[in-house]
Amino acid sequence: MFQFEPVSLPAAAEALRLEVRAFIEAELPADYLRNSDFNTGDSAELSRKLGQRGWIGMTWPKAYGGSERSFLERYVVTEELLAAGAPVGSHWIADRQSGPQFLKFGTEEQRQKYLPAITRGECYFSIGMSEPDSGSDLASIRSIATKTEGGWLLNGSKIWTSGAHLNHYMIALVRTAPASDNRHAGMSQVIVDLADKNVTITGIKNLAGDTDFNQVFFDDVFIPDDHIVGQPGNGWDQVMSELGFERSGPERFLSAFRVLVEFVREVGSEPNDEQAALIGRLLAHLITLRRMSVSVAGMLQAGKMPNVEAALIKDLGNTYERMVPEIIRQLTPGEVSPRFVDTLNQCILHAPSFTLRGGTREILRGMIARGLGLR
Amino acid sequence: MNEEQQLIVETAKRIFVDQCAKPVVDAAEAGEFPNGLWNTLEETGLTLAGIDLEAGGSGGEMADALLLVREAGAAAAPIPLAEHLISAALLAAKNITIPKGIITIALVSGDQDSSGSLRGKVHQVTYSEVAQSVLWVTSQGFVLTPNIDIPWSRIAGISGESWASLDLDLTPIQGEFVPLTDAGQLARQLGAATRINLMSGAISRVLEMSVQYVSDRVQFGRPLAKFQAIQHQLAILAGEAAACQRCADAVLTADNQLDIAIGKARTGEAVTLVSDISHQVHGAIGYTLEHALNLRTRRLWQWRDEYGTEREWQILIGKQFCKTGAESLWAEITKAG
Repeated sequence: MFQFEPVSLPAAAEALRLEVRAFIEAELPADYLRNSDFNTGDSAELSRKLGQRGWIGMTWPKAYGGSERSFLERYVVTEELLAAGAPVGSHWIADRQSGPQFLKFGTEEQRQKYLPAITRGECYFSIGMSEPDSGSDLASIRSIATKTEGGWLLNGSKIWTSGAHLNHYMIALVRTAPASDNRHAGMSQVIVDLADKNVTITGIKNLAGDTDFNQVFFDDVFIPDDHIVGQPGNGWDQVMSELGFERSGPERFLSAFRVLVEFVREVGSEPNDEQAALIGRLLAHLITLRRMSVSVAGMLQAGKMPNVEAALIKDLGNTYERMVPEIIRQLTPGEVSPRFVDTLNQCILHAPSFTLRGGTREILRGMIARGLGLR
Repeated sequence: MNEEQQLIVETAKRIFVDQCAKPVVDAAEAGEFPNGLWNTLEETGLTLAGIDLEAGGSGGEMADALLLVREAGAAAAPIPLAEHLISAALLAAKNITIPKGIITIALVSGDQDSSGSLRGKVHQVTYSEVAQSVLWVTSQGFVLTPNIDIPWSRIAGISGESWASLDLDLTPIQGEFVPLTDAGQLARQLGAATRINLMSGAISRVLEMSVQYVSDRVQFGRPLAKFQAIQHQLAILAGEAAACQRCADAVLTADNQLDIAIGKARTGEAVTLVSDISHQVHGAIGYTLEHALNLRTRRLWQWRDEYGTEREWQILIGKQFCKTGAESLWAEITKAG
């Protein structure tokens, strides 16, 4: 029912791949514990260097610091960084979705202000969607900006905000009109300066003991009129478009990849049949997912909006990356290296987030069902 | 798909709609071969689609044949299209004129002995009841014989199509041996490529049937399609169908062993979920012999075991990637395209 036409990567993209590999080898310390989960490592230094290479905002116009390269080339850079387990968390959101939001909905002034800084790897964004009482039911948000002289006063809070304590800005979905019968009306996207004195950021420890996400409180935060992204009241449609960018990429099936790498290292060049079958099974899934994801990059390049296809890959990919540590742990050889154990344990600890972030499995399956015409 | 392939697929779809309805499949399973269907495919040149013109084929490329096979899978066509096409492809590779009538294929475990007879064993030979010729394939060549007086021993297959075996040490096969480099591996790969396409076609059709059924069937005052539990099951089914189709598209040239291994492993594994979900949403009616769902699911349960189970192909993939090692794992994955 859904088509994922074969797309082969152009020669330019394959040449770029080798450049990215050489860059990573030169930049990552030998003892760095590589983690292919995009959300578990950040390095402003690495992000700046990637920016110098032109590998952030790659598809954007040169006028805003971009490189006007294809979505297929961007695909290659993102998958190479993830597969190598490089710490890409700092710029990831700005590159993947905040920048594209400005390009699609922002004012010329906003584009000039933020995009060049993002492409230099110096300006980081957080996502402001979920609230304490609004998770998958995003339309029930209560943070509200009320009109005041020259702008808006924002009150409320956002939660599960990855990197808010490290990033510069948040694009937040907030109410700019009271809730009404049309639950998707009256919302807007606003830029919040996370350094504002009326913004309070409180870290929340995840079950691995890391403080990656936060609750962010707004207490009469002044939002100047020119910090509204797009049209006031158009927030819901803009967020739906943003989520399309968020779902189709290789980060949706590569989160557990380093576990597979370390497992292959542990079993060596002559695995027994059971180990070989397990590795073969996981690779058959992975290579197929990757091919489907490249197809979606091809659709983006052709100017299509493959939102349902992206949801389908995310759901299949998340199911796969949840499966990887669960079956590998059962075939682990007796004596294993600390590096293998660390990589496996980190993955197991973070795995519950794979099927939550960027749209839960249940929300995605609802979208796919709609695509099948069932709702 | 190019224009030629679109034409082949459209023609095949039409023929299967007209001549491969459920009573035809039922009759075939009861022993009455659908000669009308086969003859129509033969007259339109489809039984030799993708086979070199010089060998008497219809011309085109292997992808033409495999796309046609995918349609046969969707239709649960009870005919040896895959077996015939693979045999014809091997004959054409040596410019041998393709004989009239149906050919089936037998992968021989042994080789020629000093007297020129084939020795060894063959298993899982399909359509031995209806084939007029048998192509006996060894690792480095083949022998073509008529299918006359061969003491096949048959096991009833789960799809209604039997698996025939023969002990060539007891029944040596004689005929002109035609050398062909890596013929055995080639035949096995082609066979697996046909099963991947048969399965992908059937799985796509099973998805369509399931969507249709839950949209029509009303329970608790509304169509089943409106229940979230059902919607989520079909979303999973759609994911598996899309993955299988991508695998099938990757093996259309049938010349890359790794792609075939990936496709057979991934598609075979999908059958478990696909048959589970499709039967569950169809309820008891889908468990009846009368309902057309089982024409596909029973074939899926057989095709996943032919030309290597998931595990056999998984081991091949795993060993290949372990040989190059952990540091090269990602590079090898990207090389696979």
